[in-house]
Amino acid sequence: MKKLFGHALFLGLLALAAGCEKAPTTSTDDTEKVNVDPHANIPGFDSDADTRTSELRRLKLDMLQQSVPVIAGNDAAGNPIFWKVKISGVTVDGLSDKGYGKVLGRPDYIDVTTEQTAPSSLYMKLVRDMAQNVCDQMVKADIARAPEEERTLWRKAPIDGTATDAQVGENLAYLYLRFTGYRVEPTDPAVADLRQVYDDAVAGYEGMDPPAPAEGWRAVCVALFEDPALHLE
Amino acid sequence: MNRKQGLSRRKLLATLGVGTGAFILRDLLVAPDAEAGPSEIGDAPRIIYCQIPGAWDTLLCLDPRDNTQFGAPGQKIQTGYDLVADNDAATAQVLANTGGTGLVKPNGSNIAFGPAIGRLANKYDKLCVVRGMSMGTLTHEVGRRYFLTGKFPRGLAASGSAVGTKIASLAPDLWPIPNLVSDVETYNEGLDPKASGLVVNRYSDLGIVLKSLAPALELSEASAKAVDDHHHRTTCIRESFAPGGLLAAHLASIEKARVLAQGTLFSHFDFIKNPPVGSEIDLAYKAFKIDPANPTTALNGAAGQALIAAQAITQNISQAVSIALTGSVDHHDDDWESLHAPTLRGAFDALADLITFLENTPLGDGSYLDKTILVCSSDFARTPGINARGGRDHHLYSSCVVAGAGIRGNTVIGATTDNYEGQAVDPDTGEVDAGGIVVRPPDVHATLFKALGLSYDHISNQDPVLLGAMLKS
Repeated sequence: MKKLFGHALFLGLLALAAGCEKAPTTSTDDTEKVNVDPHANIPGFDSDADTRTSELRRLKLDMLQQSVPVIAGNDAAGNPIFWKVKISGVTVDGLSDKGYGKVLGRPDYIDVTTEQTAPSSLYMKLVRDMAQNVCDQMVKADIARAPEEERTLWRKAPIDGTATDAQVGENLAYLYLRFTGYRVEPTDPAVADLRQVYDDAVAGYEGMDPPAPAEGWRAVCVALFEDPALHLE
Repeated sequence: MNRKQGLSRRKLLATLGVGTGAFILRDLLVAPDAEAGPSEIGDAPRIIYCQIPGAWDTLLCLDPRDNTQFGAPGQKIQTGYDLVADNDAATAQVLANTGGTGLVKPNGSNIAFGPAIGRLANKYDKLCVVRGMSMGTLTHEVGRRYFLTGKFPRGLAASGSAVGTKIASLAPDLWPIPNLVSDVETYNEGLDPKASGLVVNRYSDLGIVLKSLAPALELSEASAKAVDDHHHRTTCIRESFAPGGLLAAHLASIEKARVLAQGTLFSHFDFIKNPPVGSEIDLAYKAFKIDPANPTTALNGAAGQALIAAQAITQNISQAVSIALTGSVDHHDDDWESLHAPTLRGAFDALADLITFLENTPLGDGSYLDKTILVCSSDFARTPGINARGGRDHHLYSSCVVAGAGIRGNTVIGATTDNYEGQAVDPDTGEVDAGGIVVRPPDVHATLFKALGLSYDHISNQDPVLLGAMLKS
């Protein structure tokens, strides 16, 4: 307990020291190709009504489920990427009720009438499972794409070893926007933080398959899928 | 350069500012009612909260009446034991064994039980039964949440934290899953986020929760560490989620999620068919009378829920476990005749096996039962009269049963009248006393905490009264 609040105090002081004067805002640039609003594309979703209640702490499952294909894009064959799990031999969306939706507490309006949206270890455990599955699909899809096609995970930085620091930074800023909806500059501390993830993952993966940069982007992908900026309101 | 020594005006104001800020933020930086928790698992108090959702018929179990006096239709209290016996052989057997009274009272027992009590009656020396407890509501969610938190809900919304969460908040870092919750609601209002309940619906969910779903897709060691390091760094965007403890709760959830994904805990819940003879799971099956060749049905019922609690407590995985021993028993219609008694009996049999299991599992110089409180309740009770549809409706005055650490066994607290209404009792003797109090859930809660050696300040605004008669002297 003390450790936790000690962390919170430390993080708070660090943020103050870093000069967090103004909260960053989500993107409003409608020329951006990526749809970064996790509330968008959800049929019947009324963003003004449901998400502004005081009880909302993290994304509801419906919102997360709809957000994953928007973030992950399509596979090399053009099919949307989602969390694929096999239940009784059938591949289903892990966030659906045929997957683990009910385990995660999605209301059935019979026994469960409200979704508890406080962060929980169960939610984050399954988010990690989901992230590893979805990010693996994203890596495989980008590797399988033809050279002239646009990548999803490493759109702005090639993985053939020729990527410059600037390209890596630009790609990290693009991914941060894609996953969280926050537009940041490549010089932003959030990008520097992700750069550390990328560098550490690449350094620990040299000489293995897939190429180390791809593993770096996979690690960044998993980190972003667990990031509070994606889940918390 | 002439630098002033000592306390300058600027420094004084800055110091005051920091101090004032720290005072204002104190509830965010430290848990508001943090209580010194145990430093070792062995010393720690534990709790198993058992729920029977839907409102139980206390005439069939914890607050019965003599069927030879209250069996006829049209009375204010109608036991209905004969109607039940027509559908339930076990109830018929109880009536035959008790000369038609339906009252189960083992030799030496001060407690008379109803015909659906099952094997739990044999544990009378461990049990304290509270009767005539006013639930203050006839709305299921309200009654359920009232007993769960010890605070009367705000409308339908729970007030305060679940009893398991409160106890798990004592030292959540000591336990892999401090607060395991199976098919029961759970609440955390202002306590350490690590104490929040890990909720599963059934035993099979534990396989999803306690191991990686796709080990082949796990990140490399270096990548996994890189991701974890990322969660320990801060940015301005992250800090925007810090107010209210939301960021801390998110990070604590990730930390606990890593423990779950390791898969080492799952072996204690790997409820397979035909486990190796003599293995931990085999012995557990025997204790809960689960057929190892065909365990699925039992695992999906009361025995499975009790087994989850038994493993979590005795393997030192959890400090608090909440389980639902039945599905809803809200039997307003003639399904009450056929379903209610067998369902309750299954729950009480499982509870009896759970008590035995804890009693037989050593902990230090004693057993796990010496350190664990078990409490079983329902939303409220069912009417003493049978309605026109052959069932029973909602009734205000209910019962609960408690056993374990610090609890005086073979004890009855309180009583109901001939109208089946709660009577005032002397809290120190448990006897009916017109000058006493009608027992309420906060009184039971406070007494449970007292029995575990803990403060009950968190429900002080409910004016709880300690039920001294429940406590071992």
